[in-house]
Amino acid sequence: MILALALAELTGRAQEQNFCLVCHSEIKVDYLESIHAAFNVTCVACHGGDPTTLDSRAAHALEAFFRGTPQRAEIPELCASCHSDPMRMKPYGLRTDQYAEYQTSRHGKLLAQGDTRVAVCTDCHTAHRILPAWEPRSTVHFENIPSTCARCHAQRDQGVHSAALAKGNTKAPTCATCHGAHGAAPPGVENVSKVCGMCHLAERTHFESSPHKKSMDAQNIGECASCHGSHTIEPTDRKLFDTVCTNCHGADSRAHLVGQKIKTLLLAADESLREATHLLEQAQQRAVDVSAYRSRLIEARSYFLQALPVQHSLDIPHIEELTRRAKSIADDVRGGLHGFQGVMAIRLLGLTLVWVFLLLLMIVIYLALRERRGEHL
Amino acid sequence: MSAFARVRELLSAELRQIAPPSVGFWQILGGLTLFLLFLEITTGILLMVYYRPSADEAYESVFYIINDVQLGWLIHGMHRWGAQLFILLVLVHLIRVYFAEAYRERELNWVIGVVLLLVVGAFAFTGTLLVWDQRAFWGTDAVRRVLAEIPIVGRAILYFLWGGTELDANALLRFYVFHVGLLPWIAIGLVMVHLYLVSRQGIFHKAEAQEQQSAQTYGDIVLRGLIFVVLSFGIVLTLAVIFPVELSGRADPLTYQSVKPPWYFLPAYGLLKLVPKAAGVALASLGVLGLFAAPWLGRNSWVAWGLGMLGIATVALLAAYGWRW
Amino acid sequence: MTEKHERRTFLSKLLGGALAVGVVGVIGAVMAYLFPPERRVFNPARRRMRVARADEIPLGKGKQVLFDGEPVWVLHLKGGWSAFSAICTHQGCIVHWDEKRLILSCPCHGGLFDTNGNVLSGLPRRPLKRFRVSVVRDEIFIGPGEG
Repeated sequence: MILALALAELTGRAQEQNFCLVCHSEIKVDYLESIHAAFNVTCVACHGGDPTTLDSRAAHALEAFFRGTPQRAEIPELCASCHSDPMRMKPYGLRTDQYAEYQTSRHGKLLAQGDTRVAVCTDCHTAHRILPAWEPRSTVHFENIPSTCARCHAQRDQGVHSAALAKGNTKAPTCATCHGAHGAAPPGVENVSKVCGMCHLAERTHFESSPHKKSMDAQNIGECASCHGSHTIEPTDRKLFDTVCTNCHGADSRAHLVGQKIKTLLLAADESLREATHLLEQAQQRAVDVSAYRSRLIEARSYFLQALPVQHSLDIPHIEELTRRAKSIADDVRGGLHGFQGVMAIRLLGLTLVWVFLLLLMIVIYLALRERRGEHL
Repeated sequence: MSAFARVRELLSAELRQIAPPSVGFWQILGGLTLFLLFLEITTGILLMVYYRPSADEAYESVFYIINDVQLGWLIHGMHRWGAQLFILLVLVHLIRVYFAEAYRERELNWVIGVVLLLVVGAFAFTGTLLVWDQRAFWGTDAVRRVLAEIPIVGRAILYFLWGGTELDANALLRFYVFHVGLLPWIAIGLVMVHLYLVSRQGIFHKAEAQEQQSAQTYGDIVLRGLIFVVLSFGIVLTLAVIFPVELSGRADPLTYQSVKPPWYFLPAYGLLKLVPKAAGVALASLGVLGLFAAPWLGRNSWVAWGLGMLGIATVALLAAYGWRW
Repeated sequence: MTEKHERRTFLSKLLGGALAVGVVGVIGAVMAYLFPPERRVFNPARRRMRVARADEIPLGKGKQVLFDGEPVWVLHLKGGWSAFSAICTHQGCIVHWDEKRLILSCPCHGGLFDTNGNVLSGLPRRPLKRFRVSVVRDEIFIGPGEG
């Protein structure tokens, strides 16, 4: 059956004789925009039938290998009939492992068990308006993937990844980045709970040296998701130390204390940096020469930024070393910049003295004036 | 008698002369403006000692003045704040003269005064660019873009003022020459004529006031003026200390920044936003011409007041529009 | 009568004296301003800075300097000299120069930049800021602006 369809296509019964669209005009717009239309993959390729006649019965005749709307369970196999064939896909340079990957995914496995409520090819790629992923209007374009998945899954995340995506950051992850496009997980990762480390390398390295790794793996707790969440990832906030540690540890356990200590270290350094930056910007506005301070602040911030992934190692001496450096440099900068404010105080003092003189001068002039006036009257 | 004593005698005699009665505070305004001009010229010359008018060095030299030169920050601050006060006083002086109808039978002096107003505007415009920071650069560039839109005349003005169609090192040097070399002479010359006419034609006063007995000499006026001179010096000094000059980053022709003009150019800015390009400039020019023609337009007292209020209201509304939108 | 006269002279002397003090003060300030400060020339280091002698940095190696408060990598490469800001365009950490792989790498999130400052991989999106390099006789100078 499939071979017949393929032959029919190959013998060139293409767009010129595609009368299907005359009656099925509601499909016409969608289909003609698709990449299938651009490459002359016509209606018969999936639906069979006779496109050369306007007679409804003839067009939909069984003899013409018409198969109507494919059953949901049959769709992956139907698409794979071309898209898993290396010979067919070679001219277009397309991969051919999507079907195989799909079969390893949860969607694929449930479908094999007979559950048709899972996603099949047309649910994500649409049935007729199939566009390549680089096309911004495609349902599988990176910006559109969250809304495509959301048609079934209610996981619209509002966290940092979603915000980055909304800003057009092409490096931000979409659903497919972590879950894989067709397979269950992206290549290079054992399972999806370990996928964060693909981008967050430093965090992963430090986490793996921490006591958390072994115990979490033993108890099959998600390494990153257990504290940061899996889909709605909030911007990192030191408050996390207060809320999340007690999910596993007791409120007055030693572990909780460790968390609090790390939080204190980071908070102190952050405060210092923030204030120093504020003072720097103020001074810069006043055209004060702050280049020396600027470089030190860059250095301080660098130490602080390095401390952020290191905190996952729970290695307090290491974290403290970095935060202490950051804080002391920032404090230094603050002190120096405050010195400029001292200069302001001196200037105000000078101004006051000058004003005293000016006021006296004005009084003297006034008295002289009155004296002169008194003379004429 | 020694020469020194003779000069003293002459001066005292002059100052003992009886002055016309109606010389009150408002009349001193003009003199105060003169003092500020003198202050600007002095601080300006001091700044010239360290300022370098090349695009490569201008910003750095200003930075140097503010950070390294002793009291450089003060001289620079006084120059900038003095300019603000100067413009304000010139405007107040103009409004006072207009509403007191002191231009009657003194039309030439009025015209010279309006020319002086334009000269002050030119001072402000050319001077702002000299720091060569982002705000100055892009503010001036905005004007360049407006001028570039005007057919024929615009290009001519651009070539004359900017030395070309681009805002570059040539334009900076040209602006510098205008600001320190050309405009001060024009200003001083015009002010001298302005003052001479005032002394020749006398202070204007309404008919009723003429009968009043005068009780003051010129010396009294000088002393009274001196009080206000000292006061305004103090004000400029205070502003310079409490509100140090702010510099945005070094001018970068590659990084556009949308800039709002300083307050005295806001009405023009608002007008050009409402009526863009050549039409707007034409309207603005009409406004200036109207200002020149004020003594003739305002022959009737009521008409004069009406036009004046209308003028001020229009300018204020345009400025508000320019500021908010 | 003389009392008044005395008061009058006293006041005018006082006035003269006060004005004189004022004038002297102003002249003093002007003099302080006119005497050039210790750093006689305005700091040209903001516009152009000497990095090193050309033979002090061998081929393939780099030197990190501070230019106007910003850390800058000056690299000696086969095609000539380059200078890039050492501040990673992702979150602002200081990048390292990897002599073996001839790339600039950021220790914070693994961002990599090539010898043109362009992003090779990782989270940064914008290339490193470039600085102008000039070789005068055998000394290397850097300044702001494009190479």
